[in-house]
Amino acid sequence: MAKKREYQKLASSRLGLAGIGSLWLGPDHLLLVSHTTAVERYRRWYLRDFQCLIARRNSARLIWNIVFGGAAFFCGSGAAACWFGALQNPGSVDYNVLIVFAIILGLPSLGAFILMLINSLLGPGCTVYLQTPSGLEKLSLPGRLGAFRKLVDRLDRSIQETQRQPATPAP
Amino acid sequence: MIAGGTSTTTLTCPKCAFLLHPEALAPRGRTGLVDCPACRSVLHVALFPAFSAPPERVSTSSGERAVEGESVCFFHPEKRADITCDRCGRFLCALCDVPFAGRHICPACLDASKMPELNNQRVDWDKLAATVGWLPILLSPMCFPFFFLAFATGPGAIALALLKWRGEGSLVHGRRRWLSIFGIVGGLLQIGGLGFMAWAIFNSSTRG
Repeated sequence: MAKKREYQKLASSRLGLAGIGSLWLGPDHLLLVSHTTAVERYRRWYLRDFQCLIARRNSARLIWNIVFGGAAFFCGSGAAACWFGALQNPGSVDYNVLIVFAIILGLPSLGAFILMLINSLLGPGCTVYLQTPSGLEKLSLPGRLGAFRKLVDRLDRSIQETQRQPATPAP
Repeated sequence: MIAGGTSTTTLTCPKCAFLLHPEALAPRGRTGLVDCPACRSVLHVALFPAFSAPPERVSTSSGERAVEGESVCFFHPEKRADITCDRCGRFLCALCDVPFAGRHICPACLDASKMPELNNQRVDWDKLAATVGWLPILLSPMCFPFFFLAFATGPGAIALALLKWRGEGSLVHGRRRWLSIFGIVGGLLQIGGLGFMAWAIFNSSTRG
């Protein structure tokens, strides 16, 4: 019989300054894992302490669309210029060179365009904060509003069950 | 003396710290939507029962003196024991009781070597063995000098995989021994590559 996993993955991995981060749900806590090549670093927040989760919309989607769109535009313009230049010089040595350059510039342009489409479809970006008795903390994950709503849906039941159970009272 | 009382939790905008009123949240599924009037940030807020619950009662007492016949604290024999450690069962006074994640722990048990949940760092030996075994192979075509790292990384990957075969793995993924085996294969390939290069050099020098 397969051993039941202790942790369930909540948010997909994201590259940040501290390495690649991922969010996991444990039996009574939320675990943020940041890992570099071989070292994993952990931060835990106990579900009992969750007061609220806040997602503030940011301009991440717009900024990435500008970056990808700009790259697609510039590479695409270069590819188009090479292509039309090749068409005006058929049969010459320049024709083959221009076709090759058109392909070299066209492929990244297409890739950037596809990335821009994916970025748009992923939805608006957000920054997530967790409020506990020790204060407001910024979570590096998730980065999209849709993923935040899914996170809340998955955590809600666990948090409600944990916070309904009374803690052992102090003497 | 017990500290506690009514809830004083507040909701503030994370960008400008403007005080928000939870009653102003417009429901949207499990979250509420509110615009911060100060910075116009659009906030999606999910409130949980702990937000409106009063804070947990925390004892600020250092413990009462024990009278004859009463249980005494393991660490302070002159003080009355009020609670037991949830981990080791020792009797604790109010001073020695450490509330942790809804449990009561004694100072001796509050140690990362005894409580895995206090560990905030771990080396993933499986992944390290695989990285050491394959990274020089992948980098060599781009930068040939990386190939000479194989003198160290080839045997190193095999040694890491074997020495840490019983070591702990990732906290969330568990042991992934296939990565260690993958690292051993990479290490053997590196050693094989070095051997082939040595044979080729020897062969060309004897012919010449």
